Amino acid sequence: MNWSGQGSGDFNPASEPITLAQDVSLVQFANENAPWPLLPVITKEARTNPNPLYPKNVGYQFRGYYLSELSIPTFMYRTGTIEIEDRSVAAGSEDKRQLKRVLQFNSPMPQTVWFRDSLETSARSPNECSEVADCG
Amino acid sequence: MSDEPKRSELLLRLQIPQGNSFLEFLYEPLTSSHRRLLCLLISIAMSALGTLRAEEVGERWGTEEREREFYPIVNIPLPKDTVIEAGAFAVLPDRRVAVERGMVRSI
Repeated sequence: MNWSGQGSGDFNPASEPITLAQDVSLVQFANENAPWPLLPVITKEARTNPNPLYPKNVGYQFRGYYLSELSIPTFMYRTGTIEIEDRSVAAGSEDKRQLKRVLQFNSPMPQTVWFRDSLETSARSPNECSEVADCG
Repeated sequence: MSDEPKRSELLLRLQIPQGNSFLEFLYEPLTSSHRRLLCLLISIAMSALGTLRAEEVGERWGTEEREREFYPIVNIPLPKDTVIEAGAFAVLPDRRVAVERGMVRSI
């Protein structure tokens, strides 16, 4: 259901749905060889969440959200000492639909954080790195 | 570009500078004969963001006005640093909004 819907009827998305990774996206590692902390899996056999404080335990704190004039939410959260604003907006055109995700960081000091996303994707990998993103 | 989609993982080490910085991702769905591909581009452009308004379900069914009578959507502006974790909302007779989370507060 969309953001402002009342709950009736079905819903036709404007394009193919894009599912982002459900795990935390940003983590600060003490050890670079540490495994990525994945979202706990709940199954029919194991119905109890083994780590109910999963985001908190990896340094996340939700800080609420605010809406733009077009009612598009910007989510605010913190990982460690980095304040993050996270919003996704539709972009592109009718024949080339895109989803743009913008992360805005505010950090009290220079520091390193790891970003992870998991997608059904083509073989083309991102090769454009910015001064913020170090793909090495 | 391969025609066969696969689950892939993007892992970036970000050097976050002091102060404000931006990172922008562009997700693009591509249709092939029967499977969906996604490609991901990264840029740091700080361009104006194009937006499309979300579909109104009521508009589609012609029931928007009737829905609004029963379930009006009211946006309550909050200070940017305020986080409400409410168990319940209630409108007081003087039109103030009360929220409950262990104790009742009015906003």
